[in-house]
Order: sequence, then structure tokens, then C-alpha cells
Amino acid sequence: MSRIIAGIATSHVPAIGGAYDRGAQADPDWKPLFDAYIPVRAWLRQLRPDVAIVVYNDHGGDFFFDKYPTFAIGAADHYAVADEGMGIRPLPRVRGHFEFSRSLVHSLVYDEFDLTVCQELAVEHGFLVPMHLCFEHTPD
Amino acid sequence: MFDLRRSHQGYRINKMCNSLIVKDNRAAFQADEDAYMQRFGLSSEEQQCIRERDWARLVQLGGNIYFLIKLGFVTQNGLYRMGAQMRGETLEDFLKTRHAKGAR
Repeated sequence: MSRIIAGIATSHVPAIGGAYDRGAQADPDWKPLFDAYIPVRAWLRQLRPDVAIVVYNDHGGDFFFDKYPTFAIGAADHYAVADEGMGIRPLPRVRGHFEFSRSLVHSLVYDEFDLTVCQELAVEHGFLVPMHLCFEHTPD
Repeated sequence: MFDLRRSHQGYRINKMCNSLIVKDNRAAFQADEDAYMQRFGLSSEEQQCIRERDWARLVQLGGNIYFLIKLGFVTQNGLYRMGAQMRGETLEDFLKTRHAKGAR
């Protein structure tokens, strides 16, 4: 049985990703935003979560209107970083937790959510910006 | 509101814009826009609006901002440039309304 230990709601404005990649964290226009996440990361280090469930809307990072799910969920060991039209950002691929996803899919489908289950899913700024604001990362 | 009717109307525009997530397609678009647009069955009006970067009209024709921005990236038109044009302002005038004056 899993236990929910924290919930965070945060902006995912794509420009934050650009500023992060340029190393503009200390730029006077960006510093207040990036500084606000220092205590968030410290808090998360203290909490030591095993898994993060990231809920976001895809902005055409992977999905297109040819087939457009209302709800989709990833169930994979890894998620690629999407090319959103400006090239692939210099971020490591994202580690998934297949067994946790499988269990979540099982419970949600039995609760009558109409899920599209994705064993390949390229993640984009809606996912990546909150992740790199809240967690430090190292390449795999 | 961008609903299924709008999505149906703008399908070709959005499909072309979405194709620009592939690096080779971006290069092909930049090399020969007209030839590239031929692949997507766009109407002459849709093609004209893309050539003119007429963002407001592209939205009226069913373009979705999530996909139009991919055309924006490849043509050096970020959201601020698009927004300024939609408001009928120069980028410089639009930026005067922003806190971060160096934003683009």
C-alpha cells in the first residue's frame, strides 16, 4: 500500500525551461522565481518520496488531434524528452516506475476512468518544468 | 473555445505545425515553405496566412496555440511576438506592459 505524503501545485510556463537551460537562475528577472523553489527542494529531500505522480496537460508534446485521449497515463521504465519544436532539451530521460504505474492503471480502470495507457510517452514542458524546479537531477 | 468543431476546421493547419517537432521537417520547411505546405492539403487561404504569419487569422481558421507555437519557433516568432501582433501592437510597445523588459 502506498501513502500520499505531499502534494505540490506549480507553474509550468515553458519560458522557465528556457531560462533553466540557459542557466539564468541568477538573472534579476528570474531569480525570485527560481529562489522560491529552494525550500521546495529542501522539503522534498526531507520527505524522501519514492514516486512522483505528475499530472499535466500535454501541449502537443506527444499527442496530436488525430487520436486525442481525455486521460492518458504512462506505464514505462523510462520516458523520453520530447522535441517541442526547438530541439530536445539537455535533460536526462525520465525514470518511470512500471510496477507502480501498473497498479495505478489497474485501480483507475476498475474505478471506470477511461484511460489510454502509454508504454511510450515523450514528456514535455508541462511535465519537465515542475520536475526540474522541484528535484535536482543527474544523468542516468 | 477550442472544441472538436474548431479542431476539425483547423486540422490541416495544426497537422502541419505539429510536423515541425521533427528536426528534418523544420529544415525542409525553412528550405522551401511552399513545397512543404503542399504536403498537408492546406487551402490557399490557409497557406497565405502561414506565409504572412497572420497569427490572429490562423486562430480564426482553427489553429491551436499549442501547435501554432511550433510554427512560431521555426519562424522566430515567440509567444510575445504573436501576442503583440494579435493585439495590433509592436513587440516593443507590448513589452512595455511586461515586468521583465528583456523577455521575448
